[in-house]
Amino acid sequence: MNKKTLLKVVLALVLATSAYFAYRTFYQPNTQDGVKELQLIIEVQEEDGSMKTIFDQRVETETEILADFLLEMDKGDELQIGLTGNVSDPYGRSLTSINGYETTDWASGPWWLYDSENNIECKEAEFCPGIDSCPIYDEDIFVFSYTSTIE
Amino acid sequence: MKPILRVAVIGMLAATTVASQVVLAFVPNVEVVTLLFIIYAINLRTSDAFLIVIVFTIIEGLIWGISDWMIGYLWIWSLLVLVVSITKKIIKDNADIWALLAGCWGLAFGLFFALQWALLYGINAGYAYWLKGIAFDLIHMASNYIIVLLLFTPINKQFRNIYQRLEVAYGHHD
Repeated sequence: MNKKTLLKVVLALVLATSAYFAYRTFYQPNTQDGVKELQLIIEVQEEDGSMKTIFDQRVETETEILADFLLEMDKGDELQIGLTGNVSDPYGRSLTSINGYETTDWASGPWWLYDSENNIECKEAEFCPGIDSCPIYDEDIFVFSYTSTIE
Repeated sequence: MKPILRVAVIGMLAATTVASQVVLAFVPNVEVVTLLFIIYAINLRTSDAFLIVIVFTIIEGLIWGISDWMIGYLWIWSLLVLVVSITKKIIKDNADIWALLAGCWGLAFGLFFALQWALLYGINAGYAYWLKGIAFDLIHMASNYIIVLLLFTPINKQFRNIYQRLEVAYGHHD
């Protein structure tokens, strides 16, 4: 590789890295501080395709991002949460397991999916973002589903 | 080129493209598919390059699961082939310009998919999809630029050499 090409490569890397960090710095979801009460529903798909609820509780939290809330639940031994990836990944971390229900086959599932009918971020986009990008607000209801069916 | 050889070439190039994608699938948005489609569109007939896009998309669908992203792959990669086919006489073998085009392509890739999302699921969904994916698009832009800058000249030269030898050996069909 000659010097000119090397310079172009370095320049491209510097530009892209700067733009990447600028984006990560300026694009932050609006969060709500203070105590929030959420409803957390967790369901798993049974062999006949029906969904069985394994957790349905209202929970108070001061966390501001859904992933942090899940980890708080894990720390408090209310749930056992498994995540993969890093917060700094473009889509953040992925949920791999809750209470032993684990995704082992990423091609055909079952996977952990989540949805919310009233979370502002999910409603505005018409789909929910990754758990590291989803701010939580008072009275939000989140439904986590362990399923091989994507609607 | 004889039709049977042409079919074989299209199949092999589509398979090569799929293999390159699968090998690099563990690195988000780092791929050589853009480079390969640029090279195909420069050296092959536009219709053949389009056929490679179609076969590539079908095989990808069989590997990763058939879904609406296949529609995106079909029109977005076809658009790249079209853009290259139109501009190849002006750009010729200038790796710097192809690298710039590939970089822009990487940056716009998420936007193209967002347009499709907007059409299928509403403007808000498309906008959110684009916004959430900008970080990915930036990686795609830089990796595309560097890959094409470094690999375009040697691979294009080899590809043209092999393809011309094939044409000499088996002659033109029409």
